[in-house]
Amino acid sequence: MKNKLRFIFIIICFIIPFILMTTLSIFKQYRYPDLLPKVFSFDNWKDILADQTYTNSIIQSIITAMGASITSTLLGFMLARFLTTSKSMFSKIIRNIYSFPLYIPSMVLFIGVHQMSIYLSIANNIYGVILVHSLISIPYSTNIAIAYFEGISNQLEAIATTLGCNTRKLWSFVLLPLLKPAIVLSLAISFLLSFSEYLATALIGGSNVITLSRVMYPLISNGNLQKGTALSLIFLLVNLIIFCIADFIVKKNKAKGYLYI
Amino acid sequence: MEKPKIKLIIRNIGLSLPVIVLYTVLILGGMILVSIQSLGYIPTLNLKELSFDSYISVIKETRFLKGLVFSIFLASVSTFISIIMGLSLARYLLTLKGKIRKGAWLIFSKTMIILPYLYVILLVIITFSRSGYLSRLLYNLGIISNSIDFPSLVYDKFGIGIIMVYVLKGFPFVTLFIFNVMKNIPLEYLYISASLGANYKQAFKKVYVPLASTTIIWCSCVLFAYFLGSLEVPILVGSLSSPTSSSELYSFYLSPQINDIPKAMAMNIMLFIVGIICTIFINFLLKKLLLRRYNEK
Repeated sequence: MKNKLRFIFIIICFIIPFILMTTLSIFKQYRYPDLLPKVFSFDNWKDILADQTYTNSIIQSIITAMGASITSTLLGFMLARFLTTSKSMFSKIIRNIYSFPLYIPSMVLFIGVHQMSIYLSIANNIYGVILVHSLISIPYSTNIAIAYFEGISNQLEAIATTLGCNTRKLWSFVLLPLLKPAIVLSLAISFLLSFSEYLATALIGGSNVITLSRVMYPLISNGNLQKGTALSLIFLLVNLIIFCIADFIVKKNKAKGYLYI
Repeated sequence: MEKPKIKLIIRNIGLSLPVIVLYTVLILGGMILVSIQSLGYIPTLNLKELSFDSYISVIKETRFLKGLVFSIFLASVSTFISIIMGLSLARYLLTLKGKIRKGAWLIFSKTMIILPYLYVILLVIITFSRSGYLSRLLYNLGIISNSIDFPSLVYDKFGIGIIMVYVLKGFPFVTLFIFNVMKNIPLEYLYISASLGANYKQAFKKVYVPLASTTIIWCSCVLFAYFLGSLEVPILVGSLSSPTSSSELYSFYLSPQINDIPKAMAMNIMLFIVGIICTIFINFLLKKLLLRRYNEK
């Protein structure tokens, strides 16, 4: 009973803020002593949907995040494959330093990267931003991939090869189906990381890459909280959709029970 | 699966090269560029003398150093609170069973993990600022008579608002990783410790925490580094009178004055060195603290 009460309490703590944010976004005139806003209106939402800056920023965020998630997943999985199959000295060194970007304060990391990207002239365009975003999510992707690669027993690969699989068949029939949840998870996490990144986008993207977090930032710093809440709900909705899709794919895979030992 | 050695080497190089190139060019190259510029060598701006002047002037001005101390304080306090909260939540989740545990974990991971920083900042401002929800609630209950009576929790000198945002973002991160490790620890350990006379609390302290210690240490190092270098949180919910090192650095970096550029780069290098030293220190400290109990017995 006590456990159940505690459980309900925790859930309420999670849900109340969401309700509060939603109500703030669909009302106006939220003067000080009022507990809840008085005038009901969809003005915030209308403004946002009518203004091209916001809609464009949403599209641009999604494109950037998709690019970054695909890049980081691809590179992370390649690195993880190397780290799990090779036992050389070199792979041991790489294993210790691949999560280095996470240990550097992000401010320092991005100023260095910004200088370098000006030097290489990849600053101020979307490709540079994608590359830099994937820089922070590569450690996460690699981590996920290593965990899954280590979960697949060596014997499985050996059996497949003795049964006559060449490399292409080994990947398409054995490894990729087994790795599907990891790939989806890695894509989702890199997407989320890139989607909510502000500093890297602002520095490297310059005025050309305006993502959702970049239009939200001035709203919060100017105290335009109601538009801010509406935008942040859109933000949340996109994240939620991505996570639900990822979850659905992972679950479906598990239900099939295909090759899971 | 024997492959010719050269083929294997080529494959390994091919697999690892993209990430290595990306890291060396962008991170290492960037750091080298920054450190050269911090010594005052920027040919495009006609600054060609190498000297440590910028470092000396940054140290003399002390504003950055104060910010650095403040940042370290904020980062360590919020890392500490996040780890404690994350651990206790993981511990609570472990006591749940079956469907409730699954449901709780689902809701938790769905809601808290995906919250972006800006959302959490907005949440903290709406709830805890002087005109925020809590203050309104207290006013309507008759506890305070004016919004000024409400203690300033956001935009304050001591960075309470910043710590709140960091903790709200940090503890789900900790729980996510720690719970994932802890739920895979076989229950036999728990049974053995119980048969040896340990209650759940002791078992958690002496079995679960040491077994998950690498994850805990990794989490705290990553969180600390992130909190130390985060920019948008201190700018949006911090007070102007006590800037953190990163906001100070950012204002210098964007400053139109040419003389400020070497200074900004010097600050950057100093923040980097301090960050690395602190991370290593935390690593050692936690290793000592978490594994001490384990080694004693």
